[in-house]
Amino acid sequence: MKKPSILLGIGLSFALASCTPGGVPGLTDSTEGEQPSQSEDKTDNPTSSKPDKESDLKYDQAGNPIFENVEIDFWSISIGSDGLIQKEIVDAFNEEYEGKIHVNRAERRHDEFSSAIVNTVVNDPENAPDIVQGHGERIRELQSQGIYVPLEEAIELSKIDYQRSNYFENILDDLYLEDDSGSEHLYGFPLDMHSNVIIARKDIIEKNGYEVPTNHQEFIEVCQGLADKAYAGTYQYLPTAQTNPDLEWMTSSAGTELYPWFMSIEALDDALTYAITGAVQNGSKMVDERGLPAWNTQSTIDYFEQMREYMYPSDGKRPLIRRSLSYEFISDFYKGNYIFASTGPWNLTGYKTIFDSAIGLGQGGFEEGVAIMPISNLFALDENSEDASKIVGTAHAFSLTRTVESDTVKAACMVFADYMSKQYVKWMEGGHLPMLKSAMEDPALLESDIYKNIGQYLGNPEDFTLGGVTEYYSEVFGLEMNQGLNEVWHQTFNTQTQNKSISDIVNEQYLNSLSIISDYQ
Amino acid sequence: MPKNTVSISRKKKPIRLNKLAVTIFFAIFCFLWIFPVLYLVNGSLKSSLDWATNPRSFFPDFGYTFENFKILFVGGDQNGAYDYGLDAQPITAWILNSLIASLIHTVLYLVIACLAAYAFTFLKFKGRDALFALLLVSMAIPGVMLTTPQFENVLKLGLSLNIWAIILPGLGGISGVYLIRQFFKGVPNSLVESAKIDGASNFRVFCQVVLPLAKSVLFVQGLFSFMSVWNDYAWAQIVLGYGDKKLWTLQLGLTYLVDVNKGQLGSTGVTMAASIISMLPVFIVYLFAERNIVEGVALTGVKN
Amino acid sequence: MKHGKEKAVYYGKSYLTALLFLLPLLAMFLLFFLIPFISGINMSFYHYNLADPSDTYFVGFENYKYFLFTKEIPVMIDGEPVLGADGEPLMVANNSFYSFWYSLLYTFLFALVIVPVSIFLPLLLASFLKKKPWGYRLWRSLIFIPSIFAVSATGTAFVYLFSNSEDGFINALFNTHVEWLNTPLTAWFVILLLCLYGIGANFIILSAGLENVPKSLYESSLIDGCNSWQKFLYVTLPGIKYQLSVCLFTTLIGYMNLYGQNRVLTMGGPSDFAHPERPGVTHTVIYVIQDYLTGSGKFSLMGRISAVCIVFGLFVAALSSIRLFVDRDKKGGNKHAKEYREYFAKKETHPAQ
Repeated sequence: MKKPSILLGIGLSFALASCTPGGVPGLTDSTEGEQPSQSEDKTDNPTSSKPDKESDLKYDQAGNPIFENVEIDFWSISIGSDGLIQKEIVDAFNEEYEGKIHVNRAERRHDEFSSAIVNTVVNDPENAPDIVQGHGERIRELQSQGIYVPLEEAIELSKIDYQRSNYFENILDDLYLEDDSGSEHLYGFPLDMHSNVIIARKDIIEKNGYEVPTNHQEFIEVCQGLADKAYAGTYQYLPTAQTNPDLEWMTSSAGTELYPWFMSIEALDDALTYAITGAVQNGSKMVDERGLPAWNTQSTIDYFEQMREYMYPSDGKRPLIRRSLSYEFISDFYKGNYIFASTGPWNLTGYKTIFDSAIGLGQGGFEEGVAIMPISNLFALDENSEDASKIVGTAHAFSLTRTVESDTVKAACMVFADYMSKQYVKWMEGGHLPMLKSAMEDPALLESDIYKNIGQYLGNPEDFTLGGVTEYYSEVFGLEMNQGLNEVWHQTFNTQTQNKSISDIVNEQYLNSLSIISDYQ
Repeated sequence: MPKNTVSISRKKKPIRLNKLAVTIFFAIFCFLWIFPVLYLVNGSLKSSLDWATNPRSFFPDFGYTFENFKILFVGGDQNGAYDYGLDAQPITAWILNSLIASLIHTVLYLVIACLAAYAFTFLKFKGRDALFALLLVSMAIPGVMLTTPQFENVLKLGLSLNIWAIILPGLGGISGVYLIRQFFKGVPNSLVESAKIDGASNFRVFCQVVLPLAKSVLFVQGLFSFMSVWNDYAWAQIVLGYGDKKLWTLQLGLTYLVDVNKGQLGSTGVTMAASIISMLPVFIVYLFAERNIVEGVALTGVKN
Repeated sequence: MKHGKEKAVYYGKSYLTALLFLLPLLAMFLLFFLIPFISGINMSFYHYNLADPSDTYFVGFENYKYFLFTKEIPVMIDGEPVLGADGEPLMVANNSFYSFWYSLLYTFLFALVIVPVSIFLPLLLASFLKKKPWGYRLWRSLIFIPSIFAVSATGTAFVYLFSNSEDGFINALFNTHVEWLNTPLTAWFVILLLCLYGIGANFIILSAGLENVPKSLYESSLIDGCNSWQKFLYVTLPGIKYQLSVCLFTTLIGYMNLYGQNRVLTMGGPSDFAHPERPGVTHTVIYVIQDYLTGSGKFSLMGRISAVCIVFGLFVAALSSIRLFVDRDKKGGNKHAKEYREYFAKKETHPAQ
């Protein structure tokens, strides 16, 4: 024992505590129920924290759960413009359920989303969210760490009408995950699916005698045709009102270098579009059954080699892609310096406004001048390949964290999730397609302005896929970090790696993915 | 060129020429030196429309505007509905958090450090110098060695996601005690002794004799302490970064804004405006206390 | 104080008073320095899972061995080794090993560049400022001010000035297309520029030091006919030796802990294309540690992170202990100046010499 003294006494308990290996008290074992979660205090059900106690959830005579001032902490990954839309929906929910359920919504950026949830659930369960809305392909990461819990019980408690067959199974199947015992459970309540779209200068394409392309061959044909015409001095384009007040069509001078295809190397969404969707459309698998990367295939190599060829042609053709490190293509897009660009559909309303108010396209405006194209078929070198129409997108889904103990809160969360998934008309303003099959037949959606302007161009919901379920999502795809398939894409185009063969790059990054995965074990 | 500055050496021509050359050098150097800050100020006053349509030009096409600052504080939806990642304008919360944390830390540390420095300078007890030397050794141990256990420590104390997690850990620092002690050593011992002979208790001597003399060093140490919390990023990221945005400090929020707005149309101005806001408080303090600060910094390089 | 009893009372009382004065500091020191310090060392010998106490067990020096010496590790999934094409367990490069050593190398190499620059540049500016140009207080302020701003704020300016795209200010100005933050050397160059924004304190300290070099020394050296280089070498340098040592060591230790600048500017990138197992070329040790501590699901690695922190901490402590020698040498510097003065005094009396 240490000699007791005034000074030592102060810190002794801490000293001993910190010298003993072991977790921080209250860090784990949420089942012990030491800390009453916030929500329970507010439901006037202080006894509910023990799982073996009777359920705190009561039902009325009609069999519907009774909610009285239930508070739900909700974290959303939707920030920016679709965050604002979601806020409106949540406000409407709170109004409709006033006195019953109140949702406190907070936002988390996508690249800190997972770590923020793990950190709070583990370290600070009192401040942890009850329900989160994250990306479907990421659920496995947190589910394998025991952060998320299965939803079946909560769905049962809430008495909402959930049928597996009501949702698009191409995405939903990936939200059913195996737990430790090997049985399958739902870990994400389906909300939507979404991916980037390609926007194209329809007016310029047509003025130059082409059609808006629908597959890869046509796409390249248009790009090559326009680049050649520009170089020959016969390319016709319509610059913005700023430099061209009368909105007259102009003809390029000979020798003009036009890069019809804008591709930002730094933008995450572009990586998802060009790297992952591209590889999938060409028949490559992303992950194997153990969750390890499986994109080290010949078809991936062929695809990336072809992409490199478009940027640095070796056969005397004109380059079609300019390797850009800027995200801000839009001013050049409106000037006619880019014809195609990839963008998140949630940006479209913003582009339209800026464009109509400040730059102006003249005749017809955005609607006439710009075509919105789903990315199906655009990157499949072989248009007849089985996967050519696939769109690797992401899905939003609701998950419950393990910190929720009260049955009332669980049920309330599911009522909220169910409500959200049915607001698909409003939610489409954020560029999201509904997961609910019936929504795609609902006249309220099909006849809405948002569907006519944007929704119908987002792609066929049945073409969407998450790319693969793996608990090593970050390491396999490496979207936030420069690793995995994302790094393959980077190095394909990087001037410093131009002499490295694609198969070398793919192999190196494959091994690198494995070594990062092993490092964390 | 400021001609009104009185020159002492007007008579000597070569020296004056020399002086002119140096002045010109400084004018050019300082312009380049401060240009990034000017660029920030200028950029923060350009509208999002400007940034979106013509990011290349220095001067705005559509005139200067306070739009970006308005967006930061009041919120705004220019161009559609994008809110620049500023859900419910947490920037006010960030500023408040940073201010509160920095101020509390400063006050507490000054009290703690002054008391200790007084004991180490004016009180005589056995083992005093040995104890002080022992504490000084701790200054040689780099903070990085403490990162992981300090994180665990903070969690154990129940301070996770709590503003106290960035206030408290710095309070065990010795460097401030050292600086204040350096200054106290300059206070004539006779002053303290005579006050004690008059029957004043140590605490009274401390409050009424020593502290009033030490205003300048207190000010400097105060500024150091303030800045250490105000400008901190790494530690705040560990203990607050995973929490709700409303708990963040300004530096966390600022880095977040830079990251989240990358690639968002015309958002550059908003990010720059946020940077300007984070610079303002220290800049204002500097303006008012330039002399004290410069002297204080110089003091850190003076050997006892 | 030779009377025994009086002394005892005196000491007894003074201990109590001293204790009262020292209590807050010692409590804080214990709580936020000593305890974490010891617990950190303890932790580094464990597989320490913060999220799961049952997953915490003693491993001895394994953590140290892992990142210091283990070059290759087997790929393990759920405790089972993954087999390669040849049926043998698949071995891959150990990222922790490469992250640590290469980030240490980068940190050290960068310090070799930045430390002399952050001493030399402010020294140059300070000696110019000593000529008291017009508006010298303004210049002094302008040079000092950026160092009190947070790196995340001034870094924002550099992010957009040296943007990789053609729209970045510098690229647009010179009509170039340099990927500033995407090419190893230019990325380090921009980091260096942002680091220079922190030279303010060195500048003020050296300025003050220069002011305090006794004028008489310069005068006597003038009489002696020293040229300005000799004057600098024999009068100025010894005169500001202590300031130089302060600047040198605070700067050195400061840049050993480099984190903010590369976090804001490059996020640790760009990748090392020739060596995929190595970390991004602007990774510093603190960056690696910080990456671990803020990433998701890394709680189980607390022991290993502690070990990295301790090894690096010892490395830095070793560097800063060099100062003890230099400071001892400092007396020599004073002696040197004194000798010099005596030398001149002698010279004046014996002009023939």
